[in-house]
Amino acid sequence: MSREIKTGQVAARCVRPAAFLTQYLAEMVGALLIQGAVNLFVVLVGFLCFGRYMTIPSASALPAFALCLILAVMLRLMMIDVFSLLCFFTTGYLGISWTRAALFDFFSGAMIPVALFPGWLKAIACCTPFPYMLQAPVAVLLGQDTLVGLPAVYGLQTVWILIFLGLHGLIYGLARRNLTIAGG
Amino acid sequence: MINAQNLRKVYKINVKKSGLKGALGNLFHSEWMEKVAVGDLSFQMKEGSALACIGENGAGKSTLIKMMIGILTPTAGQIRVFGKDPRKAGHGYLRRIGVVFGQKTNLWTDIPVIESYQAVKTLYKLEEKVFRRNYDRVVELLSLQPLLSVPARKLSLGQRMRADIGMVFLHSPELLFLDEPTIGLDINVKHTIRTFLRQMNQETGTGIFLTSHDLDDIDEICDDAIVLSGGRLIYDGGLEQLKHRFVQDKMIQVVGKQEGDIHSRLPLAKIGAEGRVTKIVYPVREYSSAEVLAAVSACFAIEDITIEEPDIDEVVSRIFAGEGTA
Repeated sequence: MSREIKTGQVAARCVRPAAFLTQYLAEMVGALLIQGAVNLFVVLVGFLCFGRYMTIPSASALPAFALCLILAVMLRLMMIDVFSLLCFFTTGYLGISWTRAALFDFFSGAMIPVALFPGWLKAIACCTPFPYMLQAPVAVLLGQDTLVGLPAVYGLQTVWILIFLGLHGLIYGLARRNLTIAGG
Repeated sequence: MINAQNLRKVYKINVKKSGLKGALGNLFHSEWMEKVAVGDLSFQMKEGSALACIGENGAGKSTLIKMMIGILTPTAGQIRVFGKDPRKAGHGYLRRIGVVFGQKTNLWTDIPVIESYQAVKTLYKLEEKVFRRNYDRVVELLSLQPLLSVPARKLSLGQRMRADIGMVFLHSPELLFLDEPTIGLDINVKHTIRTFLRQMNQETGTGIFLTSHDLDDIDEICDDAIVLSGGRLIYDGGLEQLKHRFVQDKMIQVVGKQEGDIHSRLPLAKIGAEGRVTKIVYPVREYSSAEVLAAVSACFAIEDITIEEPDIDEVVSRIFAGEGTA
């Protein structure tokens, strides 16, 4: 979407009779379902080949994991959406994109599991939305420590989604009011 | 259908200084300048008509379209489309209009064209019967059948634009905004698109607001025109009247034997003969077409006669050269 904003292609979204956010989420969920099916296939093949060396999640963890995963995906999409909208106010999108990727990779546990962070850094990470996008669903699936407890994970995921929803409304409203599209 | 009153759009543009020193300075101190894209513009467009917006680059044509579709907020003045402010009319308004940007696509680029068309059906909540009727019509008239299974990103520019134009008619828009729809296309595709748009305008009564640098587009699709220069309106009226207002000479080409002295009848005309073909270029302010035809009839054994209509290219070049804009 950042690229669409910079090239002006975003205008096509603005003239469709559906909310900007709905369009974005529908497109992303559609893409993720296809990508998820491919990934699931790869994981199943991995399990068939190397399952005896891996931790098999317990079936009882799956319902809690499913809910946590859905909230995590929604949270991640909302976070990407809000960072992308910032491109309405900048001249480039690479800086914003790299900043978002760096924050996510570090604080979500994608590079180093959050459980291995020193206490103070773990506390900082828990105050950000990033662990609830990756570390939390993985921990729920594998029955590991979720850092804040499962009900709090759900609660924090929901709160962060609402915060990003609010930010979306604010930034999108500002962008529409002050939009400059010169040169066609 | 469209009513604009004293419409004005001013952009604030950040003035960047050059060089490393300038770039560092820009971090701490920004200078802004104002650019008037559209200045106090008033015009109306009738229901079902085809109106061309003519203007050089930077005249404010695209800005005007974006205000009319509700993307940009006017700095001052007001605009009403179907009696409502496009900014506040919401999705109901967007369902009544269609928009084509020549330099952008409304298709979803990664999926086949037919999937984009199906998405439009869902998005606009179209009944199967309506969708099927419109779909069959655009596929036939724009020869889209071979393109339907191809993802938009793999289409050539001409194919993509045909698919884009087809898509915008699926929801039976009452008013269409076309921003340079034939830019970069070859002559065959341009002809297909112009013929299709004209046909849809006449058969379905779809209103067309067109901006284009291709004056043949304007000539073939539109009846009326507004001319913008530097964001201001310098003409609002019929296309034919526009041509006649700015054209100084017309030409008649006669095939046949000359039997009388045409010079004496039309002393201010320039006359050149080549074999049996005589070209007469006459000033329209001095002679009416009837006078010229009477003179030609008296002086030639006419086998064939062609009256060349004023060319819109010539008209626009005269307008922007500042001739006859009073």
